Amino acid sequence: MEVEKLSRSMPEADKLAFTQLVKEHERIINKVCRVYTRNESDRQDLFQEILYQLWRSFGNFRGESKPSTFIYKVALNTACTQLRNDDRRQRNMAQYQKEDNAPDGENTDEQIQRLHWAISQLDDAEKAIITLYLENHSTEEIAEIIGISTSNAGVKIHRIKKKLQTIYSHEQ
Amino acid sequence: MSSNNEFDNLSDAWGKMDSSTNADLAVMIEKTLAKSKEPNTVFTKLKRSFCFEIISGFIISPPLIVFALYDRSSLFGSVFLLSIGVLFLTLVSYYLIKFQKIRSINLIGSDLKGSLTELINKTERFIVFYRNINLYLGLILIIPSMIYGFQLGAGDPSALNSINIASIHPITWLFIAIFLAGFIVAYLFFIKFYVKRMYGRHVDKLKAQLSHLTDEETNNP
Repeated sequence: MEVEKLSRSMPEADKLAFTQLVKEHERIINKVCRVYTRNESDRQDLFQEILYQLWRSFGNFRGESKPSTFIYKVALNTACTQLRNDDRRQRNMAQYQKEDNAPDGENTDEQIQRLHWAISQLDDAEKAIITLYLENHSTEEIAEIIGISTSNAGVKIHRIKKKLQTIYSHEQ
Repeated sequence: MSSNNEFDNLSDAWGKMDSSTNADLAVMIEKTLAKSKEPNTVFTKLKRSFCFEIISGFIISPPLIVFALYDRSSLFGSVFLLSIGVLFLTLVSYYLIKFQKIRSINLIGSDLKGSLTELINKTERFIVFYRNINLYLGLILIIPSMIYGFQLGAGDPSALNSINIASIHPITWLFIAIFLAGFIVAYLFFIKFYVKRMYGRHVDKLKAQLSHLTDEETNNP
């Protein structure tokens, strides 16, 4: 198992540094998981996948980019390439909508629930872009993480915002 | 939501979202580093498919080769089985090389577009090779397989020599031709379906994502 070998070969100090990095940026991973999954079980799976991929690439992280940029790259790449089963996705969607319509849940903030619901209507690439935008990343940073031109990133952000507005207006 | 101000309010809502932390994060990290199961990514699924075929090839090929070398009753049968065994082993070796290449893709070192592009390109090249080789192999092997099947069915290796081709009724030829045509059509459909099921759907999903990223640049270069 590749990651186990890596884990054994890495010095203890690196493991501590990795744990520290994850602790400091756990919020980012949580948000990406929340955006790309629709129930707690999938969320846990994706969280672990992201941890696995982070660990796998941690040895190559030389600090050329900001740690948060590194985490976002890994988290979004993992979320966008993860295996999805369409049937399971459909079931999850129904479950997600059911949960959202419930009178009260763990998350009582209606605004946050609406935001989640609206973002869940976007495709995976759009989710990645809006996540970075809502995290106050500049257009240049978004372009770098996604791998598109700055102008394209700007256009996409504008379009996604309009799309979200449409989704909200249909909801009301 | 009717204005940008309202969108900004949503940004505030986003800021409040999921800021909680896992009390047992350290344990989770330990578990992740120690767990023996790889995550359920498209990449992992492809690797699993390759592994399945590589292991199948390694299990099937050696017995065929051994049987072909020891069975002296039919020269045709020995040559046929030996060819299939060697062919399987060659293919399996090629799969191993391809597998290593796909395994080496660094999905996380690049940006999202770069990762998707690399994964799609490498996987597509493999799929084209895989589909073609299975098609050609099937078509090449069908006639020898029928002859070998006839020998086995007759239970006598020399049964083949006793057949007088000229005496075969035209209707029998017609049945053989219809059977072959039917088999080839069914085989083509099966290979297309199998490849699509094993690999194609994942690539389609990745392509859809990539196109969402690149459409604007294609429209406005």
